Amino acid sequence: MIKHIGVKRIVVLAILVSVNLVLGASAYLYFVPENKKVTNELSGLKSQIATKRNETYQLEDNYELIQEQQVDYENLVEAGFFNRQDRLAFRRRMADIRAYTKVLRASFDISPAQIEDNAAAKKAKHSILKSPVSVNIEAMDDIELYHLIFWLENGFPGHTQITSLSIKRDKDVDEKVLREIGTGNTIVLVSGEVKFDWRTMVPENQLSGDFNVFAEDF
Amino acid sequence: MQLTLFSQNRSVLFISDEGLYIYATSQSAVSLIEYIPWDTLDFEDVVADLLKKDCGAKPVLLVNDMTDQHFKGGQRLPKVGPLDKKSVLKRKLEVSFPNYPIRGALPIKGEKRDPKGTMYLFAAIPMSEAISKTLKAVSMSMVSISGFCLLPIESTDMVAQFSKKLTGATEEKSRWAVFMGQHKCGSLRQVIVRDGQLAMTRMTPVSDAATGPEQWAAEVIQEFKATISYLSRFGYSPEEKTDLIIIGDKEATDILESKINLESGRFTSFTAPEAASVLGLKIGLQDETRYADALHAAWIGKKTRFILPMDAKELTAINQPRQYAAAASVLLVLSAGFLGWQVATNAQGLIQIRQDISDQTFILSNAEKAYQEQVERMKALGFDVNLIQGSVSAYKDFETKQLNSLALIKTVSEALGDELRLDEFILNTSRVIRPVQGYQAYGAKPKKDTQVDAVLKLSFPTTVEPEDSIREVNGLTQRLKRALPEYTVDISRQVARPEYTQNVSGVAKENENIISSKDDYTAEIVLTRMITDEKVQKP
Repeated sequence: MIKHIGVKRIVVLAILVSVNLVLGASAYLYFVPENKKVTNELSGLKSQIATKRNETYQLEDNYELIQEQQVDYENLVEAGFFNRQDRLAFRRRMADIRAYTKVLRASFDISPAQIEDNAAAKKAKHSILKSPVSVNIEAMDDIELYHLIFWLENGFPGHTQITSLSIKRDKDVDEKVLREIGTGNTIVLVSGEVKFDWRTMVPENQLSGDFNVFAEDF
Repeated sequence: MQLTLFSQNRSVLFISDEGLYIYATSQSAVSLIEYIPWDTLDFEDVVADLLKKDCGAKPVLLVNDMTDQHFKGGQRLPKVGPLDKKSVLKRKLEVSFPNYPIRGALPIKGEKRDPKGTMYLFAAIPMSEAISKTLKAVSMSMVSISGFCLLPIESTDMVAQFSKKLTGATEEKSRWAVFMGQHKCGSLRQVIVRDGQLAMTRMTPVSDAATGPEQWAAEVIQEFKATISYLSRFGYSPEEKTDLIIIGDKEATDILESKINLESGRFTSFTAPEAASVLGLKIGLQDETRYADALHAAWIGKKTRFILPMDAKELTAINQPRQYAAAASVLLVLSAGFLGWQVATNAQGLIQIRQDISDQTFILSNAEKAYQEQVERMKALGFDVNLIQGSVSAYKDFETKQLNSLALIKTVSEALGDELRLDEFILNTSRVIRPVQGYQAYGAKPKKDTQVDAVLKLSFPTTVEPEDSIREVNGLTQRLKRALPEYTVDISRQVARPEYTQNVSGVAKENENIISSKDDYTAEIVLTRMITDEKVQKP
């Protein structure tokens, strides 16, 4: 085969194949993906410009809007969104909530706070503190447990977000249980576990110690 | 490498009985490069060298002009499918000419459609030493082969064309045409055409017209008479109109014309350049215009399709790899062109987009500047805009991703009604990456959605018939679907596990309940929902 084709033809074919490989590789391994990447970058830039201009126009023209946002901001201040997540205050708040909701027992575990990556907070030169919390609850009535969930969501400074929840009926109400309740004994009829993330926003310059930046954009 | 396989610029090799004539043909001229006798020392090297250097490594066309050519007319190919036709024809050729390895077949036109099959003219030539030497020389030269053909067959259409050109518009067309031309080797080649197809060919030695035109004319007349005598066997009669076309010097052909006796024929004579002119060919200046070789070379050399291309293993072995290489080269050149275009287009696009990015970055910095000016203005009025907007935006962002768990519990509770109650309720939320197809994912930050899974576990008293419990569970499922349309509601475990996918065992006997396990009185319903951030952010 090679004898009939000749060295010259083989060299020409090899050169053509090489040229094709180089062109193909540069087209499909570099230019096409790179084009896609820079196109995304460009559209991102355009979007940022549009957003920034919009914000500027809003500042220029909507003084009322800023005033409204000022009200929201003050509400957040009022609601403790800028709280530094004092663990002692947390314990006290948990004790208050338990007493108010009349659940029999609420054991809790709060993990060390992490810093969550958040562009909006960064813009304000603040950081988002996120503390994962787990609460195990025992109650005589599921209504009490729902009350406790309500206060976990609304009774803490800042923002809480439930990530998981389980409620279990431990015992049926029968004659024996009713008798025990009648004698004044407390019986756990319902138990549950609530896991939530507690988030607040603190100035960057007030953070001390080493934090793991948690890049999850939840 | 020559890619111009179909070009008119070719080297035409006339394989004659005495030696090899190498012609270089182009659109404007035909020139004899060299005549190499077969007994030349290092014949192959000499020819290969000539083809590479003197002929410019152009593709070669091999034209057999030897006496030893064999034809079999009226060969019928039975009706076969188009896929089998080639192999059947090949087999038939092998049977017809078992000892002649260079073969070809030409379908005979003009015959009425024969239901039994198609009629063919078979042709073959032996693999003589002369042909072997020529093939070896071509192989050594590494030039491409345009084809291998027989001179009388490929000149048939030339003779027919002559006859057509010589016939006036009002004249009756001649059925027969006899072409006679002397070649440089001294032989007189006759090509006899009937109705545009080869009827007969002859190759006979005659004296050279230059040495004695009288003698030449006499010999040509003698050969013509012999030809006419042969033709009568093919149904020729002297009364039929016949064109006699002679190539030769004027002096000799004038003598010939005066002596030849054509009963109803038309005598026409040309020198080779005159004949070429009639046919619209350019053969350039020729030293010896009485020979017909250059005319044949010009006519056959310009062809892109041959009437009867000959095939042989040896020829294919040389030519096929070169054809594949040429085809691969063409494809690769086209592919390189396309890829080059792609690269150029993308590179241009890339440069443009990068320029746009640079412009947009500048615009963004201006927009930032304008924004900061406004922020400073607001700060002067007592507003920390960045803090206000940043904190409100961050909080709203958390809120949009928030699932109202108590609202879900309330809806489930309403769907349960007064009769049913849950043993357990489990709710989980998780962040999952939204699947993105293809290259769209490239360079883009992956988007995430919130997946909500809720499990409802119920149990029924063993005193209740399983069918009733199943009905209750189905009813609850329907109510949940209506109340929570954004959720997918599935029964993951049904009471008494009636599904055919379940593995169930038990005991059937007197006074024995068919469902004995307490587990069989429990049911599980799963609620699933995918919350996209965009969807949640809608008011």
